Amino acid sequence: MPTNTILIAEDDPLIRKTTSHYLKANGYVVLEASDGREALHLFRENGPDLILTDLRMPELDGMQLVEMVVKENPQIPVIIFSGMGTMVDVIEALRIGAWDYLIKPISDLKILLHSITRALSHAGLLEQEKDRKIYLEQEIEKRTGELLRQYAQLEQEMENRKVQEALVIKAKREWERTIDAMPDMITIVDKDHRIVRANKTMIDKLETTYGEFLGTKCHYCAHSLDGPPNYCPHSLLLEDGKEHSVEVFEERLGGHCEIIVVPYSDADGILIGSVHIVRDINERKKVEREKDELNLQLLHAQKLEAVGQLASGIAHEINTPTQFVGSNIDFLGDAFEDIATMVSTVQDAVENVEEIAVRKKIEESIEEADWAYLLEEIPHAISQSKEGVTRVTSIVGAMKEFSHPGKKEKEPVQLSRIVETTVTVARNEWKYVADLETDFDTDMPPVHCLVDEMGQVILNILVNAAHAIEERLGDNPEGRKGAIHIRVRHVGSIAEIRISDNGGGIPEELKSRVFDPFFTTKEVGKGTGQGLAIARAVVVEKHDGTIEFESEPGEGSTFIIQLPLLEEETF
Amino acid sequence: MRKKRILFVDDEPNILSGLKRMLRSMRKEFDLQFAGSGIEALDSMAVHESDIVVSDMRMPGMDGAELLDIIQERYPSAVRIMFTGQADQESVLRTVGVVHQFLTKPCDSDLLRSVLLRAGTLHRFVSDTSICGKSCGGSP
Repeated sequence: MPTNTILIAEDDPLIRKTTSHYLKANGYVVLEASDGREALHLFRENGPDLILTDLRMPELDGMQLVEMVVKENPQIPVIIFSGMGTMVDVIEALRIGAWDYLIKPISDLKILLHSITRALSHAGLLEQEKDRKIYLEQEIEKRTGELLRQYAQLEQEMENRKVQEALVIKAKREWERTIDAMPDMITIVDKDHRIVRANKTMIDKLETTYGEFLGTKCHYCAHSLDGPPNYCPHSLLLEDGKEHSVEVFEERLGGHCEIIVVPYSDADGILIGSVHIVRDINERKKVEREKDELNLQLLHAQKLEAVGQLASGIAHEINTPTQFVGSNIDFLGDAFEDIATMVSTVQDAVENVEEIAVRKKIEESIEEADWAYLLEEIPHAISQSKEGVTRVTSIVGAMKEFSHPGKKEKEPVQLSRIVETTVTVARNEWKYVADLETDFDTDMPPVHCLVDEMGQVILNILVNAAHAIEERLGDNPEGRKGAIHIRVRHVGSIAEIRISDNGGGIPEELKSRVFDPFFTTKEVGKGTGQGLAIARAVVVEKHDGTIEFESEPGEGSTFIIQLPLLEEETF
Repeated sequence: MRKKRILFVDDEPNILSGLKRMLRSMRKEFDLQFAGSGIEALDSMAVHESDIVVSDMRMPGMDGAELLDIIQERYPSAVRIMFTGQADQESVLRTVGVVHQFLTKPCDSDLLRSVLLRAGTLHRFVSDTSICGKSCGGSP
């Protein structure tokens, strides 16, 4: 154990020396001071482990010394030496920091030693305590520091996490807004055909809310069906896990739409449903339909042109034999006149012939040839043949006029002429089923129109009329006929063609579709369903006219075409 | 007045014989010639020039327009008539200026007769050098 140093402050040399001696003998290092000032000095110089001080000393008394020493080192054990009768001072010294006191004179120095040992031991404990406390404090500080660091780290992490979360939420909202902003209807449907999510476009289109919509069956809310329709692309997808698409017409989804379904899997790649993308294709359908119609008209025009060229060629071919048949009939007519004159001359002359045999022979020969009949009938045969040639000529002429790939510009024409030409050309279509009557306005001003196309319009309606009558007549061995009546007139500044038939009429439920392209009630091969669609296109779009019909089922139909007359003709 | 000499050109023999028969009644006014092709027609003209030439348009080899073109050049005083079953724009345009008259098949006999009579009159004026001048007068 290290040697402890004890400072003795005692103005009485005898006591000081004895005590010092004793303590030295007990192994302590002793510092001696004869007054308080010296003691203070030694304390400051040497840092003793214990101070033993008298209270009454010169210069600086014990009380003051205690006060100062304790102030400078609160841990230092201070023991007071005190004579009897100074107990009040002793109590004061203990109060200000002394540890123990001894009464002078000290009868047994062992008591002193004991007190010193106890104080030192106590001081040692205190010192240890202090070290421990310091250690603990350091430890606490260290731990606190660590905790603080960890806390800061946590805080940082939380901060980061918050930022991350905010980013995630932001991204999610952005994504939702993006999906909502898409013009296509988008929805996620699970394997049970239930709506899991949907974008705003879809919610708005179906005039529903998220609350009502989510969880309902797709086929129910989109198609009002209890089960998936047979074309359901989602069912197909659930079977093969592949993308499918289908075009449907669904009023609730806004008309024509294309439904594309794309497989939708969870994070592990297991198919859990599909994403439906429902696209409005009304515009595309419209364009397609217009394109179809345009193609149809183009095709039709090309066909007409080809037929026209063919007909024009055929007309030429027919004209050549017609020419020589006509010439020959003409010749036969002339020749017969000459022969008739000659025979008449012979008959006259024969009466004066004397010789009976000759006369009889000539008369018999004339009789044998049935000359009276020939004289009567041959001119009829010739004039009727001529009429036939004339008719062939007019038919061929009408055919040429009708089918000639004619002008592409409007010209002023008499509607009655177009009607007549068309009626002639289409004779074969109507003459077996109907009698046809025309009724033309005699002071009809010309109409500005595309001759070929207007002829086509009249032909289409005329052929329909004939078909309607034919259908109504049905099996007709007695050869009954219906009636077609075509009337051309003008009312004010409007030219009107009315084509009436007494066929079966148009059933009420089909009336709205009569002018639709490809709509036909005729059997395959008899009609393409383009006739009236083309008629309407020609009349309405190319001539600013109108085409309507009146029809009484079982009574017949009347188609009415109205066209504007030439401006200057209306005055 | 001498008979007008008319040359009919057509690749269809029935047409020619039909015309021949039809115009028989005018045998006093017209002297009729017939040719089955453009070459035959030119041969006939070379032997004995006709006053009026009536030609079909569509014929194998030389067509009517070419024939009448040559005739206009060689025999300017001959009256040229196109007699065709195909009065399309192309033939009209090709022969305008070459032809005096168009006739379409089939042609009514009365019309044909009157056209030929008028052509005869026209030929009288055309070949009359006192009216037309030497430049357009044909060889006799």
